Amino acid sequence: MRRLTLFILVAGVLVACFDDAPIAPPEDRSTTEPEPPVEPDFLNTLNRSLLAVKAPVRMAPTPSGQLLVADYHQGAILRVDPNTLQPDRGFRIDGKPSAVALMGDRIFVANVTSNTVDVFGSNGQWRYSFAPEAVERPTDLVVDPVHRLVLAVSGGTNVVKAFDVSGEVQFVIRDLWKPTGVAVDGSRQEILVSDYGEAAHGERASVRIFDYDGNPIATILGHAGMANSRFSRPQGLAVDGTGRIYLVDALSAEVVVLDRETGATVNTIGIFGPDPGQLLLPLDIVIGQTGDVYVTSYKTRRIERFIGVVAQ
Amino acid sequence: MKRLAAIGLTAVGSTLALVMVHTYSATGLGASPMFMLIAQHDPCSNCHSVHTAPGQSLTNEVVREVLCQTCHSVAGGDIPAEVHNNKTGSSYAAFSITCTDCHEPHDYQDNANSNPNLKLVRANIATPSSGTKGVVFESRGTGASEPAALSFADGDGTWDGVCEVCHTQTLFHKNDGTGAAHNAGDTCVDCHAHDNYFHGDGSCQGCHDQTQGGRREIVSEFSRSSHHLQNTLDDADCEVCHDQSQHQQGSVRLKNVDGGATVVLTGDPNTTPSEAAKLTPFCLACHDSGGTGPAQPFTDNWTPPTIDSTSWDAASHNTGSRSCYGDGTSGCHASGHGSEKQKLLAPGGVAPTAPANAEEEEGFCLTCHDSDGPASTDLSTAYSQPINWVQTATGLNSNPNLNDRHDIEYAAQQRSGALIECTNCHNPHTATAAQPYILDPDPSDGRTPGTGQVFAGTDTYSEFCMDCHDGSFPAGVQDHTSPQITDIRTTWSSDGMGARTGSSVDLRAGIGWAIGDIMPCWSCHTPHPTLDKDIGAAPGTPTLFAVIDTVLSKSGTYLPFEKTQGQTTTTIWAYGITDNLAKNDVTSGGYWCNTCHDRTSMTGKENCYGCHRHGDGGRF
Repeated sequence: MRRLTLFILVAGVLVACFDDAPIAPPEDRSTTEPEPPVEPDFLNTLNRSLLAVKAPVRMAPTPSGQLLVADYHQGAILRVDPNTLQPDRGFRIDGKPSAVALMGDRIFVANVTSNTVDVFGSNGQWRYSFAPEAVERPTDLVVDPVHRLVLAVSGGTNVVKAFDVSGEVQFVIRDLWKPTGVAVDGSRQEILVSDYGEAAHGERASVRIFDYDGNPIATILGHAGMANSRFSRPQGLAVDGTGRIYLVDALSAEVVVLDRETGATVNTIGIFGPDPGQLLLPLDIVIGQTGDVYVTSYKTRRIERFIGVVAQ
Repeated sequence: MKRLAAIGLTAVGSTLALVMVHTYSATGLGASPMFMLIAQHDPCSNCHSVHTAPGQSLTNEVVREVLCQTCHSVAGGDIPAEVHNNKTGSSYAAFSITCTDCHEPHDYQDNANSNPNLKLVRANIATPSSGTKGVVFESRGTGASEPAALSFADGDGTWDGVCEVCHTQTLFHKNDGTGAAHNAGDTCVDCHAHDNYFHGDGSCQGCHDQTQGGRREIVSEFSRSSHHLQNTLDDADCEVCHDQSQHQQGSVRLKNVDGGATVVLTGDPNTTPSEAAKLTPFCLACHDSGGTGPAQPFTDNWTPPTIDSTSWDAASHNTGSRSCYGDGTSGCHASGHGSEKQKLLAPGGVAPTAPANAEEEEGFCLTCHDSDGPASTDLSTAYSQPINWVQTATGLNSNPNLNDRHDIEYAAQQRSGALIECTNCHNPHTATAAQPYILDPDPSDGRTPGTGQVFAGTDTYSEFCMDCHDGSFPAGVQDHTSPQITDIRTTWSSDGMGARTGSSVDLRAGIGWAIGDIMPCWSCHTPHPTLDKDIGAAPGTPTLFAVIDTVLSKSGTYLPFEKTQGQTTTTIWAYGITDNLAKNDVTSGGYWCNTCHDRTSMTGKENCYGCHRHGDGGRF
């Protein structure tokens, strides 16, 4: 009986969340000229002889096409060569990172240990951090250089928070069950959030799409399990220039390519497995400059590259 | 039987089971509206598929822990977790305890108290070596809302904590009750985090930032004045040196990065020379010029300074049981972690005395190089004498920065502004009796001094001295502020020390030197203070300009000076220069110069240095 009571309480809280205003956008959030991108040029401060990808979570591309990878167990940000897929340098953070993003000459890092966002210069030197507990168990981080926003998934509170670069909260997206990943479609001016849903409530996994006032625009539903080639553990996601969404599904260990307009699955990339070229607990995706797709494979401790799968 | 097991594992029942695992108990649900809600939503398919499941038990994942981590990863929707394994270099054979070894995702069992365990922890765990054991896990620990009883390891005399039921080899909380005093009642995962494979606090620093049994606190040693590792300490750095394969088993095991035998310390190297002696090959494995070990072993990517092991084998300092490591006499370097002195010198925990810092640099060397050894060369006695500065207002020698020695001491450096240390001329790792000096103090000048301490008219060491006395200095050496020292090298070949020609110098017979000879620096000077033996000054007064107390002949022997007083000729050996301000034969160089020069040419000019010196257009 004790657990049933707890369930009812949880359900009540969830209902209460829906009763809240889902989004509180700021009054004025006009676009600005984006900061010119700066290629990170930090010195390696990790043991060079032990330099390797060990626990890759989220990634971000640099202006030159390198990959910055948040390596959770190493507590470090690695720079990975897009061809060799090996790191050539890295710098440590004070905690464990789950995600990394770049804007101008800043490197934003979601710090799971301190539950905040740390900001480093392009030289890898710490500059400042957002307020303590700015986020709770952050699972993803993305930047919107046009609006100069940093969007972070607060996994512990099941919201997505939009900050300005100084860490001031601009608005919060609350209409979510268990958000994991976030992306920005600059051409459509949309924010995409992957959401595990809540099985106990019959809420399926989904990709939720919001406008910049935080209003929900569309939802692409996944599946509770593996059936129907849909997704059930949606993780990192990216968009290309043709209206397609590339969504990593951790359970099926593939990238599901979704049509933005219809929500239909139009393709899948990658297969499950422990071998090179295969994925085991994939968590994030980056679309490279030449149409290649890079995927973090957490359990195999690799970055996998799928060449030319995105039409340019 | 009020729980799911009583309901029966029907299709509907198993569907319920999964939901209950992650939300609430099945108790009393059978006919409730919630029951129908759950069954309708089919949450079983979160983990199972009837027709397409690739894994055992119709699970949606081949690797069971991956299935769990699709939700319980750092980027997943729930609390992140990793399986339980051991660290690289652990003393135990590699193992991996997967999720379902400890957790029952369907949560249908009550524990021995007829209560459910927290976090889906199994009521009975099949342990690796102790059979199946009951587990009681109803609270987290000693937090305000976490009573200690029935927690991870509550020290209540029954060893049924979720961690302690398995452990038989750890130091603490074994399933036989030993070691239970370690943080009993606390939350194990506060330090041994689930998302860090249950490794202790995630770092060596987590434990060694305080004393651990008989082990001293370590972490702060890396913040001392000198220390290994120039950036933030990392576990990987610790494991460069420390073999953890027998961690917590009574010995410190150190790796030989070149692949040599592991060094096992069974005693304290600070107090036991035989233990300290074990460390030399360990140190040299990194500090050699080759080997198979990494060139930059630590995360700071610094290249260790090279100490050639062959040279060290023959070095004068490598005698007896002396090791790299010791208390300052049995060995020079303290803990490899850090020292309050420079260059990890011993003793590491004792800061030098500000501002003199005398026990660093010369002070450290002179600790052994004193009258009672153990070094055979006593330099301390001379250096302990008050510095004898050149006096002012003496014409060509009016340089108050000059004295009787190289300015290795703090007091001398404070007055002159110069900076030079023992190690600018000596390498303690290579110095031998035959070759006590480094080969080339200033490699940047492109000139290489000769080798070998030969003194037979062959100028082998002047170039060594000229590496600094040419007016340009190697790194670490600094000139006087003002006036600066003379560039002797430029004028040396013409000022009389080098091939001075002429007939007015009136050289005595029997000294070996002749007009046209080039006199090496060491025919007149010594780098360390020389004590005037007896005449003309207070006993023990160091001679100015670091001249030796009598001149060397061309063959390298000390020349006696025959002093005639009245009708008596006396052979004496010592007339140093102790006062350049005075005008007399005894203290200002008259006799000293006249060791070679016939005094008949110098009548009335007792103070030679009133007119002559290096670098003055050949007037020396």
